[in-house]
Amino acid sequence: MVVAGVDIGAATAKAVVLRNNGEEVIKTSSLIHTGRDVLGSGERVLTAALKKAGISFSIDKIDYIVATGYGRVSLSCAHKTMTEIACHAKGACTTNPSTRFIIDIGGQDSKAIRVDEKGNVRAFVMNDKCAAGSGRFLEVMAGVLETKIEDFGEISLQGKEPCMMSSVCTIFAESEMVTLRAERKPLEDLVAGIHYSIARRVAKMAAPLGFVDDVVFTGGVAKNAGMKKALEDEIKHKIIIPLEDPQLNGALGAALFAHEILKCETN
Amino acid sequence: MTTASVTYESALKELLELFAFEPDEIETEWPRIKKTFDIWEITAEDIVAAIERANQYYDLSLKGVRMILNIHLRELCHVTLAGEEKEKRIYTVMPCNIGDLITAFAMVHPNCYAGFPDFYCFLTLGTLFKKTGAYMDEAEKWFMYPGEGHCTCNMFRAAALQKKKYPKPDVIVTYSHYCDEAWKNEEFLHTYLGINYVTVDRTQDTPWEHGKDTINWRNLRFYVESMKQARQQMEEIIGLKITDDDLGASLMDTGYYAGLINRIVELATNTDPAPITFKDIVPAIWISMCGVMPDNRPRRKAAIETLWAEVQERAAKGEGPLPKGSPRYMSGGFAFVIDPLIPAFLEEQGLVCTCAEACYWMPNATLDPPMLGSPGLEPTEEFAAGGIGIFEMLGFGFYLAGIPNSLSARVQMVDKTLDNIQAGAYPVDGVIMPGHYPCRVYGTDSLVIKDVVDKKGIPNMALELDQFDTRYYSFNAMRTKLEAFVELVKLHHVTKG
Repeated sequence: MVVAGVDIGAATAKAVVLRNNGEEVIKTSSLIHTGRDVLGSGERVLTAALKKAGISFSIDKIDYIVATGYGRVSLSCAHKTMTEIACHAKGACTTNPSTRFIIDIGGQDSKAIRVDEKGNVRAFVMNDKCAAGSGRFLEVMAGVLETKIEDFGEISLQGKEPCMMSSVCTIFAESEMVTLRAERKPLEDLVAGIHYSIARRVAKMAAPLGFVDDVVFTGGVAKNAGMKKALEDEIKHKIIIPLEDPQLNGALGAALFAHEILKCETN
Repeated sequence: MTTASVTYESALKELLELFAFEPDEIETEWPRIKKTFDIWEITAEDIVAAIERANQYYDLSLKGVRMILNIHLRELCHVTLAGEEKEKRIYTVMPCNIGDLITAFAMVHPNCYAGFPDFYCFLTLGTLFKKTGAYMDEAEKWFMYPGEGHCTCNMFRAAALQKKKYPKPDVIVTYSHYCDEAWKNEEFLHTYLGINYVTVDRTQDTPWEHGKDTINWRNLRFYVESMKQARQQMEEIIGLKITDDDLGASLMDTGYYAGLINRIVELATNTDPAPITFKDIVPAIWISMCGVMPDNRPRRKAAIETLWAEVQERAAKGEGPLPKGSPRYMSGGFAFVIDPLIPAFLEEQGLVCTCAEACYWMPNATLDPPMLGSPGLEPTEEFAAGGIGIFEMLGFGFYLAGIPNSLSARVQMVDKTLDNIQAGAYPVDGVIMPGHYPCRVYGTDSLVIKDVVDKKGIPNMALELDQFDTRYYSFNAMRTKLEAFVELVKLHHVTKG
């Protein structure tokens, strides 16, 4: 049995393939930039994940596909679509059964999800209006500071006095960063300030749900160690990142749903 | 019908037939409707799109719904042409709770227009024709700068008056209820356009608790006196008078109408499958609040009687838009005004909206036997001792069931309403709270109301949008949230108890 979950986000498309050969479940994954061709990116990332699993057949032969993410409706080969809220909850709770709260920060949005002891979603909030609480903010700032975004997290951890950023808009924050740079603020403090700016925004959005341990962090931005620390400082809870690549959490959740649905239908 | 094959005449005819205009009515009303549409620059393409939207948003298999939409269109014509058809014009504005007071003038004096123009414009030009955005742009260019959080209802009025889309009134009657925007806006229109205004003061003093056992008599009497003063000021400005009996007749007429809306809501809440969903009741509720011109009073009565009969028939046959056992939700806050696509989408996903906070706003509902969640009007000793005059009835009705005068009153109303519904045979599985972010009233309360709903363990979601202005949000941007809400509600439906 081969099932797959595809998470087509605004910035990246991810796929997780689960192959059950009767003895074990093999999991493979792939990630690419979404680009303009949303449908094509979904199919390409799925094909890449199949190849990694050593599967030679085409994507239309997959037993069950669940698509999620903003581009989910564009994947015509998907058997079902589900929201990324449900899929992130599924992925996080399966990987870490003690999960009760999920913070997901992706390329262009952020979400907070509260789940119960069975992993069911009980409440959620999303920031999908403004880039200031998303990975895009980090990308823009990395550009302004002429620093590789992959280095941002480590640089942030070295900041001793994170700069306060007052702008609520990514574009205006860019201008503010230029001014702070001209004032010769240390790079570490600038970068730390950027991280705390996102963390404050996300914490404020998520707070009405009520933080409950374990708090799990998912999405591409969760790979940033500086962001993890800033969030922990703002929400005053320890944060867990159970997945090796937290950016795949949504696709994993979708694949797990695909596995469950197919099992139900078969039985 | 495709745009390529349509003529203006065929499109308009189809629209009017869809909105339950009889053939002879189409003929007699055509010139006025055409003139109105020309003033608002409605094209054949606009009409074709409106027909599609009406079919998408509403259950038009219910003739009663079509008859209500008929009235919306007629009221749009009345206000647009009031400059040439009537000598005197009285408008009321948001926040509105006094439609019956002002429409009593029109009921008695044939040379007087009275109504709530902005809402009828939103329900037609906004909901169906999507043409209100241009007026928001205009208001922003004039004095209501974007980012300042102006009430979009006020923005539309300012622009429509400035661009002479509907005539200037002799007087605007506004109303206080934890919002300062209304008075300031009317003062501006007075300064720049010379429009007189009168304010009914419901007093922002110590909050009025929402219940007949905790009446703040001082506030109630103050409010009644304020309404009497407003009537006197209106009479002085326009030179026309009404008696207490005239007001009573206006009130009772609307009371009958609102009472039948109550019955429909009760039936929807207490029947499975629900014979009607709330999005199809909303257009009728707005008529109750806004008031109608005299020619539409019998039409309003006929429309609601038709709808009540149709809904009863469906209930008897076990029919409804969604199957028996479908998950239910309540719409808190504002019911969807300018974008019924959202409740229509939720219905497509299998969720039925059987009640809303808005249905408890109708002051005249209290003249009818108490409906679900509403304490109803019962004579009290103090009223009996002092005599129950019509203004006292009006004030008391607003007090109990009108738009709440305070956050605590609103919380109490939502709390009691939900308790009543959840104790019934068909509790709701979710609450959606459509916001209205430029609104001082509804924009500030949402987290407090959410807390009330959370404590009851009911899945809920607040939606940030503007009820009168679709320029700054899109349905597609909300789609993920709405789908996630559907998942939550369906899960609760399956796992509860």
